[in-house]
Amino acid sequence: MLKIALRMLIGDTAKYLALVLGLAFSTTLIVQQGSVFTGLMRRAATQVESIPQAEIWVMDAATRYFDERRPIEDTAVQRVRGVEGVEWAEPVFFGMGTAQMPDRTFASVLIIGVDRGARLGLADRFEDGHPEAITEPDAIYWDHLNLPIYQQVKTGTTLEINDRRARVVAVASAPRIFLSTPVVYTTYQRALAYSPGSRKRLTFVLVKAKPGFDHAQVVANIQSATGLGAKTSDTFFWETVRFYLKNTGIGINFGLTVLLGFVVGAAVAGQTFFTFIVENTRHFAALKAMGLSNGKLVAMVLLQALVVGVLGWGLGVGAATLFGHRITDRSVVAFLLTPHLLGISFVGTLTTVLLAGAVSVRRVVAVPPAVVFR
Amino acid sequence: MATTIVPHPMRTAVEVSELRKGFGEGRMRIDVLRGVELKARGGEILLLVGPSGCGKTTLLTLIAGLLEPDSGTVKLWGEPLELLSSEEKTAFRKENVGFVFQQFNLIPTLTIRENAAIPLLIRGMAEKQAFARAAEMLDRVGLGNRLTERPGKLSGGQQQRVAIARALVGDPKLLICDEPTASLDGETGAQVMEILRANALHPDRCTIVVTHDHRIFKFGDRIAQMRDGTIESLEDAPQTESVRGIVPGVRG
Repeated sequence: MLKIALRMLIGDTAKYLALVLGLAFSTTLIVQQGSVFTGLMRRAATQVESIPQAEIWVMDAATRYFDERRPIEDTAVQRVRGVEGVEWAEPVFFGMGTAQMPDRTFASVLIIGVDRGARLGLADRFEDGHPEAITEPDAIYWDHLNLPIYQQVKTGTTLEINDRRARVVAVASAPRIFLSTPVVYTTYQRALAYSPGSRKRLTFVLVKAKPGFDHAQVVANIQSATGLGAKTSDTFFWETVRFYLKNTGIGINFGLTVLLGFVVGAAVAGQTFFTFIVENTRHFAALKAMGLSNGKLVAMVLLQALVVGVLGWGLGVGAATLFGHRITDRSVVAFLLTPHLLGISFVGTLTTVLLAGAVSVRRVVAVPPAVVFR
Repeated sequence: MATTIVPHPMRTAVEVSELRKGFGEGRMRIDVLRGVELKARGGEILLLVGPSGCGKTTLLTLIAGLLEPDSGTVKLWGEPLELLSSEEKTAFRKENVGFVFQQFNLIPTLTIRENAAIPLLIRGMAEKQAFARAAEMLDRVGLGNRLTERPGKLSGGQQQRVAIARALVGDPKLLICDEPTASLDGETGAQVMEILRANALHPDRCTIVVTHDHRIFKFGDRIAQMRDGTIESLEDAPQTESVRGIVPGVRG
């Protein structure tokens, strides 16, 4: 009888499509909005993720997330190198500056300064130029983040950053950051010159632990030996994501959109499925009259619900993936479809349709078979 | 009580005693059946006739075990239905009762072969075997060449023949028909009744037909006239040679 249930479902193409597409619409909204949300959240901590060699980040002890940066003393690098369990430690500078653009406008820029030898934190993907020239005088990489207003700066362009000359030797193409300010990559010393500030200038010390050393133990060693803050890159990444989630409206706004999509989709799919069952009530009653047990009726309805649920979910994920297909880590729109999101949307979609099925099946079970004689 | 009937030629097929059934409460209560007494024999077609609202369909649903009586008993081949639980009645209907409805109640999204196979599929028969049996039965009612069509493409008479094929495919001991010719013209109605007549001519089967259609009275063995919730009369149906006496002794 389960095959009969499927034929009953598929036989009416228009209703069947309406059911599946209703659920697909709901799933698309959940997955698409969810993926944009996770993509954005990932961008909040892109820079932590983009230096995979750094297993531990050392910073001011009061730092709570990546964009909250208070400089530490330059000597911190040497002190950290002396801590037990540290394989190597390298400085990295993050600061803001103002760049004079060729068209006489100006742009706030994020300046990243890296150690001349280690080059940790330097962009490693380029649109064009000569990346090896970064050690030449005044050399910088320019990353316009794919934003047209910053694309006027090209390889060979000379800029002024905080009144100091800068020459673009390559246009970088690194993963997008959360902010929409261009990124300037240069050497550590030159970055300090571009971004004058207080006595303390070092932003982070990047650390790799010696083989065999537990990262948490090395973090504790650094904290106790230097009095500085230290976090594993994973901890730092998630603390940054959580900070944005908790302290900006991004989480709640996207959450509401996803919830709305879920409710609308659930209402459409639930109502369509319920109508489908109601329209078939007389047939179900006839089956009961002919001796079909309530258990088998329930199985038939839930199978129908399950089939439209899985198909609707699959189509919805497909549509959302199609949307995300052309979105790269350089796109304005962020998109990150995670297995968690797939799982949540699958459970959400199936819950919706099974709830609709459960409501409908109550009606089917309650219908007296004698109704077929009316 | 077993859910499968073993018919006994000496037994009455359907025995209804002091059957009462009402609907509603208090002043709104309507007593539809008021102590019905009725016996139907194996091998016969019993026609239930009477004005609208006299309780024919209610009696039919009680005999089929689709409703519970307020009082009284329904026995099928001597076995009282009231001893069965709801689940047992469902299992009982699955094995022993076939239905022909006025509105056909065919599932429009299934082919006529799938529709006709439903009682066998409900019994758990393998699909291939059930479809083969359904095809045989559809062939017997003259629709063997339209197995893969959907009911919506058939005329009313053809749809009712599919419904009859569905009712008979499981070889039920009791066939319940509610106005089987009401939606059909005279000729088609006669064809439908010929099929029912041919099926009824076995002592281990009993067919009860509710009808308003005088044109089909000649296909019945006896006619029970109902009025105000009781059986007013029970008489032999008018004799018609074309439909009588095919199996000697069946009419008892």
